[in-house]
Amino acid sequence: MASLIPMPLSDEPEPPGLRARVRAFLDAERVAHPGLVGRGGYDRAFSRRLGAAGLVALSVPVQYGGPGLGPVAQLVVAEEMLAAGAPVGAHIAAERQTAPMLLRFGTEEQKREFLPRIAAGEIGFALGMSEPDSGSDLSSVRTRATRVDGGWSLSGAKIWTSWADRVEYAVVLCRSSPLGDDRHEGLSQLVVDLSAPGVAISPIETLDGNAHFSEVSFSEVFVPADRVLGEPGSGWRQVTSELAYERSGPDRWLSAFPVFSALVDAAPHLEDEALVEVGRAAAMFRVLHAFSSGIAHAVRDGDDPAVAAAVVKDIGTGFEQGLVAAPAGLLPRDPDLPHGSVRALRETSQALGLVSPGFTIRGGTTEVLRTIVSRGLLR
Amino acid sequence: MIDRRELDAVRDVVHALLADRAAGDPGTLWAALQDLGLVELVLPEALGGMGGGGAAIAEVARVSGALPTPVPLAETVCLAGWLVSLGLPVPTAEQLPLTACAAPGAVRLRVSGTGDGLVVAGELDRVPWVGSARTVVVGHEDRVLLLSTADLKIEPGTDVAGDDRGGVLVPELRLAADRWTTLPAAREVVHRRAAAARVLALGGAADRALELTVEHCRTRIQFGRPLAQFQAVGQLLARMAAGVAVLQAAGHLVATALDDDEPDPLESAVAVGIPAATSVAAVAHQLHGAIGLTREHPLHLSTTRLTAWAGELGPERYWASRLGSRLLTAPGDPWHRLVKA
Repeated sequence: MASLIPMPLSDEPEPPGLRARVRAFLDAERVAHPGLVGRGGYDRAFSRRLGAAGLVALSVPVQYGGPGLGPVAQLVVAEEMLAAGAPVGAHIAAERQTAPMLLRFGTEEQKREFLPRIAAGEIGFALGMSEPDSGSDLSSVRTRATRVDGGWSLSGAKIWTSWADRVEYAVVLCRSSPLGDDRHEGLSQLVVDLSAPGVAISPIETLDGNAHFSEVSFSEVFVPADRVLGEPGSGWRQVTSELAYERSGPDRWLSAFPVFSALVDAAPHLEDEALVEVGRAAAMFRVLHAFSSGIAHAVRDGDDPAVAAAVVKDIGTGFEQGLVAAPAGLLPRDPDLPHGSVRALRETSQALGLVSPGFTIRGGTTEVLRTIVSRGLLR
Repeated sequence: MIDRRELDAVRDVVHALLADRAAGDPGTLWAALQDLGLVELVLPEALGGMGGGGAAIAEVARVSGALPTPVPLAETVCLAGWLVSLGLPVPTAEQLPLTACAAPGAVRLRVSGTGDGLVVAGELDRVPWVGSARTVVVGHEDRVLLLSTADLKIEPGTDVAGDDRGGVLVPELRLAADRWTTLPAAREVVHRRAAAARVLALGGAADRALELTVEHCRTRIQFGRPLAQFQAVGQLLARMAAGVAVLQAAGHLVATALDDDEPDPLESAVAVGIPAATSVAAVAHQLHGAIGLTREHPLHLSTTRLTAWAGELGPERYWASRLGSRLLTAPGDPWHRLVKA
């Protein structure tokens, strides 16, 4: 009687001393650069300092310039960064997705070229998946690569690419041979230099006033032949395994952590129900940490836990939205907000309320995830 | 220590035995379980046991919840090795199985005297499978007490799943020195272990409910196709899977925290397990339609237990508020209170 939902869970202890080391790094940053840790966002200099401390892309092996500590260590660092609100925008996508993809599918030359710079916090990658007409239906992408002398000519547009206006490269999912009977065939992933001629980038302002997403258009952009990631034509298989990295990590359950912190600060000034919410959230954080850790171990051992990752994202993002919404039911009437911590809780949850609808959309909508899970169950 | 493969083998053997005998006489079933060496499995190696610890306990307790098991198997494996680690004697065959109350507020005892003169009296509510248990483990203030069921007056009773949840009247009872020991906050510790045992069993019950539901969705034809092919059904199945996954993680938290009796992960497991179990039962029924509400269909064997046990452990806010108060009184950064370096 094995379980129908194979959720990897691991008993292995995490690397000793690593969390304390990361916390010491963050404490030093708080002293040296007041106001930086806690505001999130993008900061290339911070990513370089973190890289110099050996705390970026920990799963990159030593031979490619990384710390070589594996995905479990990488998870520990990512959790600490996200919970602290560190500005990881310049390297987080490369660490979480591009580096493991290069390790798995990249050529030796690509690994040597990109991995040391990713681990140093020097370069970042944008993820070119969605398009203006292809959201959840990812295999319908129309960005097209056609063969030219020495490589490919890329034309089309990508959207919702985080930090595309600031990072150096993008991994672009495109159609590299004509659409046939199987729409999952003929797709490829190309590593595109975002400073190449023909690339145009327009930031998109979101509800919260930020503009970390961009639309990126490609007009006959030349991509050298050696910049295909993996095999031409196997882009679909690659991108679906890439999404497991995107869906199972702590980014999917620590985005709303500032609300939890604010709730902990304000709870002594609120009704007992606040204390119950703190306890509920604490319990769910432990569950989600167990999931992410188990999946990191499974990935280390060469598994491809796509269904489990979809389950984790569904649970994690639903929990986060609930956490953002909870204070609205706990706050006293407006004129009765005596304590600063209570006002801070209201402001934090309202501000995150402008972002939280995206939790169940980015990285795969809940409906698509649940389709993946039910197919996995019925297989 | 025993490895993963051995644990899988233990799980399969216990499952086969329960599948074969669970409907029969509880005494015969317990004798067969005891013959399998389940108590030795969880006893420390120093005492001739296999030192299976939390991982072994979790496997056995989970299986006990997957089938309608009429004996306190989950409680016994969660308590037996632990009692020995407190310095109490290894329980004899005549003192097994063990049980303990998982419901908050179920223990109402008065204890007087000291040493050999310890006298216990009072009442216990809804004691799991007390009719087939030989010993009730009770935490009272700073003492762990072992009460022989032969000395107790049992009021037969059942829960909504039909499982034995008799009430107990403890007459003025004198406890020998080897039938109790001191332990700080014993009342909370015993209650937490009993609740953890039930969360593990809930995981098994949820697994079984999902198995039946997936099978039903594959084979039940409506509008000319299997239910499984309807997107609305798939979405509900995935919601159910999320509940099952949460119970798996809860079981994992229990397995890793039982050996050291760590309150935070154990109580977290109970707090998340209660709503997950309730939701799994609700979706299982919704997807089975009317047939799932009959005594004839096996679904109720899982869903009534999910509901009864979630209710027995609850309210969920009791556990959440315990976790919340502990977290709020701890010092430092909220994240550091949650995850220790």
